[in-house]
Amino acid sequence: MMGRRFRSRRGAAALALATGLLLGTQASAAGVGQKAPEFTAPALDGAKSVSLGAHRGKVVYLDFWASWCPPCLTSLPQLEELRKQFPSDQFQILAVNVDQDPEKARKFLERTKVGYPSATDPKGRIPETFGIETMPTSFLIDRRGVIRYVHHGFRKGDVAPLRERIQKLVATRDK
Amino acid sequence: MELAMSKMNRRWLLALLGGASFSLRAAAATDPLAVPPSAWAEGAFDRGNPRVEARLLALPGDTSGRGEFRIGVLFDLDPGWHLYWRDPGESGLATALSWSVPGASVEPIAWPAPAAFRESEGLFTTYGYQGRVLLATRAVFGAGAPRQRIARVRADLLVCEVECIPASLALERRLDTAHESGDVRALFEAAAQRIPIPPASLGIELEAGFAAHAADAGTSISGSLAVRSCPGEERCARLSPGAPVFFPDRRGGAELEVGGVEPDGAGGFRVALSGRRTGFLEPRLTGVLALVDGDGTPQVVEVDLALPDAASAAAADALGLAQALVLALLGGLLLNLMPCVLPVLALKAVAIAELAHRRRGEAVAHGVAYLVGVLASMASLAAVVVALRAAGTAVGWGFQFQEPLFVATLASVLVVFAINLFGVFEIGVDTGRLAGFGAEAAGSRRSFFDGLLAVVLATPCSAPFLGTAVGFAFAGRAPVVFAVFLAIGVGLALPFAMVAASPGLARWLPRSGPWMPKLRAGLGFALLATVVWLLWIVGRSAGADAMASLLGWLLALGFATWLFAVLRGGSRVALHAGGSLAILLLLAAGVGVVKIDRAAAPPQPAASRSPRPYQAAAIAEERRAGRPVFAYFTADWCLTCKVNERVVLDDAEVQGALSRAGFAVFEADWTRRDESIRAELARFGRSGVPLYLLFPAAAGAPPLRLPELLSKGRFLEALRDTAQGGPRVREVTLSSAQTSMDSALASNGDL
Repeated sequence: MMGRRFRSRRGAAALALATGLLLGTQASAAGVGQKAPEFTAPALDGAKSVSLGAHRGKVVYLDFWASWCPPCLTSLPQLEELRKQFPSDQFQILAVNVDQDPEKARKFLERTKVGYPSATDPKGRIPETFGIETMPTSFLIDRRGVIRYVHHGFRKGDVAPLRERIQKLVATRDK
Repeated sequence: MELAMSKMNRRWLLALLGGASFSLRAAAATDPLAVPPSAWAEGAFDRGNPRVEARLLALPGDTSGRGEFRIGVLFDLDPGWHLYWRDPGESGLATALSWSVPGASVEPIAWPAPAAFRESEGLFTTYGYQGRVLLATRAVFGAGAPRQRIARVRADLLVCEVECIPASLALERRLDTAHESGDVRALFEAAAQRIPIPPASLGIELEAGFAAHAADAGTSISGSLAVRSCPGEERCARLSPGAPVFFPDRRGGAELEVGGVEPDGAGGFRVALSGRRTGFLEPRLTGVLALVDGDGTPQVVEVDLALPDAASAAAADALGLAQALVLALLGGLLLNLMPCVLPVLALKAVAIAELAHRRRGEAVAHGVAYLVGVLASMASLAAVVVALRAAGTAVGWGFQFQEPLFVATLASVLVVFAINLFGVFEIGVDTGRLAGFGAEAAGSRRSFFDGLLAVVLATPCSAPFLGTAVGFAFAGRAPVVFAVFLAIGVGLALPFAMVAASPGLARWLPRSGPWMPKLRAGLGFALLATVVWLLWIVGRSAGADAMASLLGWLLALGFATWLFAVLRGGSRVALHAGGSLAILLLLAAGVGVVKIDRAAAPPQPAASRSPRPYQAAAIAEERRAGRPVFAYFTADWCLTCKVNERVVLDDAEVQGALSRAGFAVFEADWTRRDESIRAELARFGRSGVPLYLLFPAAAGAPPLRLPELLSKGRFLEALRDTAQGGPRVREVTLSSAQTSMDSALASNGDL
C-alpha cells in the first residue's frame, strides 16, 4: 500500500498545496517558537470562562480533546496525574473540548474526574486558530506564552518525556 | 460576524476532514484492483502521511441487461489504525457512506461483523475494522435508467490509532464499463461471509431476557441474551472461545455493555447485558453475535429482538388488567394535583371544613355521595365512549371538549354555581327547584354533584400513569373501558372520601364560622376563572363571534338567575313576569350559542414554535433527509398541554436547542375532533393528549416518547439523546460537511 502511495505523492502534494492555500493561516498558526494564540471560552462545567492569558507567568499544557477520540480519553487521567506533580502556581493544564454536544464531554468527565479546567468550543474556533489537524494535539507553552513543544496523539509512555519537558520549563524562571 | 465565524469554522473543518486534502491517483496497470482514477482516494493525513486508502469497487450483477451491480468502498488502513462500525461503541464516530447512483435504488450497506477494540487501557470498548474492509451494497437500476450508469459515493470516517483523524473521501466511477474481475469478486464474497445472517439459518434461537420497564430515557436495565442451541443436531452453533461474542448497537434504543458469558448447560449460552434505555418506544435488543458453528466455521448472526416495555403500545396486550387498574388508580389520584380539578377541590376543602365538626355519619354520607358522583360520572363517560365506538365513532380522553356546545353547557353550570357561591340564591332557596343544577348549599346531593363536576373538569387534564391506563382501556373491550374508568374515579375521589370518613383528620380542620361565606364567595371567582378558560377554548376553536355569543348567553343566564332569586320572595305576578322575561332573554341569547360553528376559526399554531401540521408522510420525509423530528399532540382544552407548552416548549433555551439540533417540528392539534389525529394517537398507544415524540433521523429507529408532564432539563436531555442517539445521525452530519460546510456547522454532529 505504501509503495502505491509514494507513486501518487506528487499528485497528492499538488492538491495539498492547493488546499493549503485555502487553509491560509494554518501552517503558521501555532508552531514551536511562536506565540500561542490567545483565547477565552466558556468552561465545560459552566462555572467560569477559561482563558489562556489568565495563566501567563505559568507553564501551560494546552490539550485539545473530544469524547469521540479514544486516545484523548486515554490521556485525561494521565494528565491529571501530571498536574498533581507540579505546583499549581508554576504549572497549569488547560483543556479545550471540541464536542459539538458538550453534554457528551460532561458525561465522560463524570466518569473520569480531572482537576484542571476544560473549555467548551463546539464551533471549533480555537483549534482552527491553532491549526489542529489530528486529535489529540497538545501544546506546551512557556511562561511568556511561547509554544515550546507540540504533542500529537497519546499513548501511556508519553507521560515521562512530557514530565521532563515540563520540569525544564518550570525550572526556567525568566518571565 | 456570523459570516466570518462561518469561514473560520469552515477552514478548521476542512483541516480536520481528510487532513486537508485527498488525492487522486492514476490507475496502475499492475494493480489487480485497478480502478479508474476517480474511484480512488486517500485521506486522513498524519503530518502528510495518508492513513487510509479507498477504492470504489463495482461488479456486474447476475441479472441480464446489467441492471444490477454490487458496489462497495474498499478501505485499506495503515497497520494499527482502525475505522468504526455503524455503531462505534463507547467512543469513535460511525463510518458513513452516502451513495448517489442516478436511475438506481441503492440498498443499505451490509455491514460486516466488526472487531471489538479495547481502548484507553480497557476503559472503553469500540467496534470497527482494521486492515482491509469492504463496505458493500447493491445498486438496482430501474427501467428508465440512463445509458451511462454512474456511481458516486462520499465516505466520511474517523480513523484512529494513538490519535484520530477524520477523513472525507469522494469517489466516482462508471458502472456500465465495469468488468468482471476475479479479485474483485473474491473481495465481495469474502465480505458477504462476514455479513450477519438470521439466527434461524444456523438452527439457533435467540431470546432477550429483560423484565418489562418504563419507557423513560435513562432507565437502567439489565438482562441477558439467551442463545439456545439445538441439542441432538450436529450442525449447531456453539460459543467461539475467547472471542467477544456479542456486539450490541444502539439502533434499538438501548445502550448496553456486555458482561460475562455463561454456558446454559444445554449447548447454548447466555450473554449478560447491562446499561440504560435511551428511551425509545418499543425498544429492541440489536447487534451482531459472533459464533463458531458445528463445522468450526466462524458465523455472525444478526440480533434484533423486542424488549418488553410496560408503556408501549406493543406491550399493551401484555399489560395485565390488574396492572392497568393500578395505573388508573394512581393516575386518578394524581389528577387531584392537576390544575383542571383545582376549583372543585377548593370547594371540597370548604365542604370538608363545614363537615369536620358535624356528626361523623353525616361526613361519611358526604364522602360516599362524592365517591358515587365521581363513579357515576365516570361510568357515564365510559358508556358514552362504548356507545360511540359501537356506532363507529372512535373518540379519546377529553373528547367532549371538542364540542363547543358541551363547553358552553359546562360554562353555564359553572356560572350558576359561582352565583350560588356569591350568595345570590343561597338563603332560603327551594332546594327541590335547584337540585337539578346541584346548587344546593348543603346535603349529600351537593357532594354527588361535586363528584360529577370533578370528573367533567378533570377530563381535559392528563396525569402521569393516566395516559397508559386510558390507552389500555380504549384498546380493550367494553368491560375493560368501564373497569379502568371506574378505577380512575376511585383514585380521583379517594382523598376527599378518606378525609370525610376519618374523624382524626377532620379534627385538624378549623371550625366553620363567619369566614366561611367569604371564602365561598372567593371560590366563586375561581369557578369564574375556569369559565374564562372555557371561553378561550370556544374562542380558539370557533372564533371571537362564538365567544361573544357565549358571553351573551352567560350574561343572560346570570341575569335570569339573579332575577329569579330577587323575585322569588315577591308576588306571584312579578315572579311570572320576571320568569317570562328571563326565558325570553335566555332564548334570544341561546340561539347564538346553538349556532356556534366549530369550523369557523382556523387553527392557530403557536407562533414561537412555528410547527408544521402533523403528517406521518412529512415526518418520514424529514427523517429520510436526515433531520430528527419533534412531534407533539396538543389541544386548546388540554391544560396539561398548555402548561407544558408555556413552561417548556416556548422556553428560549428549548427553542434554541431544537433549532440548533436541526429538529423539524410538527404539531397535531386535537382541539377539534380529527379522526386522523386520533388514529395516530392510537398508533402510539394513547387515546388522549398530550403526547410528545422525538424521532431520531435514523430510518426505522423508533421514536422517544416523553412523559405527560414535561420538565425543561429532561426535555433538553431527550433532545440530545435523539439528535445523537443513532449512528446515522452522525453519518448525516459528517456527510453534509463536505458538500456544505455551513449546513454541517448548523447541524449538531460531532464535527
